[in-house]
Amino acid sequence: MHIEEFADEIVQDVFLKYWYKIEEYEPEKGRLFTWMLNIARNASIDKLRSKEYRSIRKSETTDRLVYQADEHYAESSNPDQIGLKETLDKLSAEQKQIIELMYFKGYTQSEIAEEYNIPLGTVKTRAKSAIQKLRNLFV
Amino acid sequence: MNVKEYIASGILEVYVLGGLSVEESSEVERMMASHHEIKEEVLRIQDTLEKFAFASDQMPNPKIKGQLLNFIDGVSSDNNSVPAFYKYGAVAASLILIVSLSISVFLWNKWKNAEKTIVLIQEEQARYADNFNKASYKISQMENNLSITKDTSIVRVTMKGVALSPTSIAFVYWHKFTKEVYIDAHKLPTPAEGMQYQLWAIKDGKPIDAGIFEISTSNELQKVKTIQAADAYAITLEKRGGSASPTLSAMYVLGNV
Repeated sequence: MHIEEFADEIVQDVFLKYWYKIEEYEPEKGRLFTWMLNIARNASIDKLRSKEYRSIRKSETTDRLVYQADEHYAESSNPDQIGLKETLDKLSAEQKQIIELMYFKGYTQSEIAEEYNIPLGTVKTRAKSAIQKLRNLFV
Repeated sequence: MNVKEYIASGILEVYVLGGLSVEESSEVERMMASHHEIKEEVLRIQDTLEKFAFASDQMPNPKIKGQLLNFIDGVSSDNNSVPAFYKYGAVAASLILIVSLSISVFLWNKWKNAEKTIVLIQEEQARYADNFNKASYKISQMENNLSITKDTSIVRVTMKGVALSPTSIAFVYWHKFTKEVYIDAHKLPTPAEGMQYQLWAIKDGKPIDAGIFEISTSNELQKVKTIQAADAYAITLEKRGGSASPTLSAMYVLGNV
């Protein structure tokens, strides 16, 4: 199985979740897009953690996957956009680690603090600075 | 912790990145609901991540759209995977069953009512027929009575009450040629149980049995025994079935021809 097939499967799952769960969306908690993004992100993380995926992609690092994704979809729908890899490369190593662990791999702040022996407050400030950096990039 | 410190802590970024537990997230959502600035900040962070997401947007495989639409069409038109034909068939069959049951009950009730009506009509008809028979019997009897009383060959004898029953009265009709005798005795008192009136013809001082008869409430003539000739008639009360000779102490009426 190739990475595209996983992606296709996730896209399909995600859209079905939108279809079934749209009534669970609460506008007070944020924009519809964020809600959709979270569903997509969680579905992707679930897939990445699945045995089926891990058995094939044992050796892949997130870096490599991101790079691969960028390479694969070189002809993007938006030619002006900065690639994912490029964007992440603008972050410091610490900021990048937080985004990678939290956003792409689904770790909680407590898990990160414990596993990497960082104070909880530091996890928060790194997350804040990472977002700040991204915000500046997309002004 | 005031609002500014809360925003500065970075917890909102962690929240949007999905790094909070369920309880921590609910806490942030409570803060968002009560502090407008916090909500604004969360929306700004979400905007940033949205842009970040678009930095890597890719067109999904176009095949998927078709598959999804097909799937959703299937889901919305047919929740169980039972083929539509059977589903509609089942609905139609149930409807037909209900309708036919209703019709059966309706017709059964109608049939029952019709049966009842027929029985009532039959009873009524029987009553009419009965009444008609009674009426025609009465008419024929009255015609008969009339013909007897008008017949010039008939001799009428009036018997008047004697000491035992002074107010009683009875009539005998005797046909000169056929010698038939009819009695009209409806004004006699009703006899006691086991007793019956008997008519006697008296010829040359000797009583001749002219037959027993019933007291009828209607004004009708009863045919009794044929008598060749008589000087007088009398009625006595005898034991039921009649006697060979009259009990003179129980004579009610007497009349000469």
